[in-house]
Amino acid sequence: MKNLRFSDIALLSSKERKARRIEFHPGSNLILGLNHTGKSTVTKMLFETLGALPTGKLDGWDHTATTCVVLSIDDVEYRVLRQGDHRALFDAEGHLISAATRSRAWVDTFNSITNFNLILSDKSENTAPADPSCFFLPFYINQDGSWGGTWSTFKFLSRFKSPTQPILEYFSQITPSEYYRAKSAKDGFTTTLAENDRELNALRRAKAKLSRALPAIGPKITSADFESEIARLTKEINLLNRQQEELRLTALKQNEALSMVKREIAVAELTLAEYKQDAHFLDRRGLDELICPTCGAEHDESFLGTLEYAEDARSLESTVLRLKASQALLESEIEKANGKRNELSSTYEALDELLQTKKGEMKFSDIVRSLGAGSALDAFDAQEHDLEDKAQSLLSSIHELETQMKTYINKKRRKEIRDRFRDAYSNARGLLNLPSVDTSKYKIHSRPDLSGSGRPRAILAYYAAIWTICSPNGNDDLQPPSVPLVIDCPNQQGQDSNNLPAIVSFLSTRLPSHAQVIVTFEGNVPDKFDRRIELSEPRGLLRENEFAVVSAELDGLVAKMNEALLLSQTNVQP
Amino acid sequence: MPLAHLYLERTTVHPDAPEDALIGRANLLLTSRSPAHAAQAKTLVQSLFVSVSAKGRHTGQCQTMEDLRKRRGFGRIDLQKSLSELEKVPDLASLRATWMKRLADEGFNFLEHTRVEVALSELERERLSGIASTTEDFQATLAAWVSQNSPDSSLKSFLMSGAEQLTTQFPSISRIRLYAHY
Repeated sequence: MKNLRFSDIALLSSKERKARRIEFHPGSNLILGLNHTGKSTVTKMLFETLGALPTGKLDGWDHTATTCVVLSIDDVEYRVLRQGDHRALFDAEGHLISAATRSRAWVDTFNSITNFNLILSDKSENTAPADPSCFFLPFYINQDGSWGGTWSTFKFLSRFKSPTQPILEYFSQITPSEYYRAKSAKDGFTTTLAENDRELNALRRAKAKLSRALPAIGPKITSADFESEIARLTKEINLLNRQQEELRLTALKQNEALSMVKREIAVAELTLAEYKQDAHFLDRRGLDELICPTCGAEHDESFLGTLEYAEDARSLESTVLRLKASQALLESEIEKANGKRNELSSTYEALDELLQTKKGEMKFSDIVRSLGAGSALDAFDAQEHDLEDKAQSLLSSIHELETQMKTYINKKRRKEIRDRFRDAYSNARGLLNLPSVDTSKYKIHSRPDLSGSGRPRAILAYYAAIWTICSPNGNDDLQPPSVPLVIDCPNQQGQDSNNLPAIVSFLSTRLPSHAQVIVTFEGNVPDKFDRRIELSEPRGLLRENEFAVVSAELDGLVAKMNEALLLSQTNVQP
Repeated sequence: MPLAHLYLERTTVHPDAPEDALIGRANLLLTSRSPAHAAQAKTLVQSLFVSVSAKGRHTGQCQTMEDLRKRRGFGRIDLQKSLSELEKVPDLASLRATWMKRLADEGFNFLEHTRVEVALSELERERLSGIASTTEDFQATLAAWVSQNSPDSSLKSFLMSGAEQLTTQFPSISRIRLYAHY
């Protein structure tokens, strides 16, 4: 059985010069704090760092903050760093494993370490690997989207077509992931087949129209009188193609260089602005009392050191000036290239003129059209044949996949798991002071949709039943891992003095024993949790006195990530 | 001290950038004393401001003139020491500008040239932010190669053969970034 555990999270705001590190127990954790102390921020940032974006806005949060989650999968530790859209995976020693700017690249990295191999269909019926939002969906109750009747825990889930059922069936092993892989491929083939049929019908209609019009074009005209024009046309077209290709390549390289230069100027100017702030600080404090404003460390700074520091800034300023000159030059080169592209249009005009050339009563364009009409019917026939072949091959693939899907459906196992789910749901309802209901028809992917104070308890009972059937057993490496259960904040809809203790006691004692649990709560409770994390200061989650330590730890990782991302961009040869 | 040694001149000083008024003066001084460092006038003035402005902020009373001189004074000898320190800092900005121009003159491809400028800016940025982007091993290998080779005839060939030499030992560093390191 694979176990995924959160070990700690580090949050760093360079803008506010504040930071915070929070460590988690591998068992049960209770995050305590009044409103606005940052409980939801901590839980949301766990998932955002890993590439799943929870719904709900965080008021007053520095969205440029750097976050780092240390997690373990079985005994292997990883660190995941996130800064803006950039994410990187490191091993326990801080060696970079992978860095990504695009979400698709990150999805591949995340899925490879978690063995998450569920394939879904997107809205256009294309197959797409499920992402970290899908991975955490059954295990996170988000205060801002999960306590209602719909699956609104994460943003952008709607890009997948009906993802909930396959996700729940994947984690509960009702249907193995191979079934969804085959289904997704089958859906893709079905869509392609429909497109193929549409194309075939359009082609047949066009062919029929052309056949009706062909007799009107008359007898075939000889092209012998137009030999020189044909030769010239071929030459012009070849020239045009070559010029177009050269211009396209040049424009591509120039635009890439321009965006690289612009990006570097922006970053360098930010660094220089930071230097100016630091220099201003030195001006105010002087060399003989150089004490770091953040960590309080005393530095032995010499005049030579200050000179070198100012000189580094001057050197960067001078490089930025040269980069700006290169930017201007590139912009002017791109403009020139655009001008050349316009010049090509005159070549097109020359070709048009050539087509208007007359020999006696015949135009050169008539020759081209006549030759084309004759061969067009042949081309239509060939294409129709290709499309028919393609349809046959698609139909046979669809049939093969349908047969394969049937072999993955095990009715007995499906019934056993459904029964376990229904029993667990019924028990949890009882423990959470909800009236007994007939659960024999309940489906795993149908959330309860009640109103009033019973709703959050019914939702919790539902999730608890899901977690019961999603608990991995056995040592099958292909099984989905055990995922931490995160419940942001169970005190919903005004629970009274009977129901609230029942909820907390349920969370403390009734969740799967092997699972890591993170619960947020407003007030202290007597129930047993392995670790209590207290957040006491409203809007004071991040602390000034942790900045130096966390910053020292994350800066090196950020530098490695940025260097890797930059290298991957620079190494792409245009 | 004879008052005849004092020279006062009225000049306009912007409160947010007081050093601007002095950079021209510092340039004149450096041009006559250390022409090789004349371009570093701004650096000198900024660093002097750090030293001098701190002295003006001591508010404790001084009992004697000697005490006053020791705690808040910045005199000719201090300035001479500062100038000597500046002479220890090579004018890398000018050297880099000269090299980049030389590369362009030697017919280095413009787009490649721009990429080297970008890589150079990255390195300078990292240095200014105190980020160590390379290992000591790399720095030592680079220094050893530079000490045995010089860009006398062609800077382009110097950079290309240097990068070729180091790329086998440090394959994770791109060729363009290696050029910038030289």
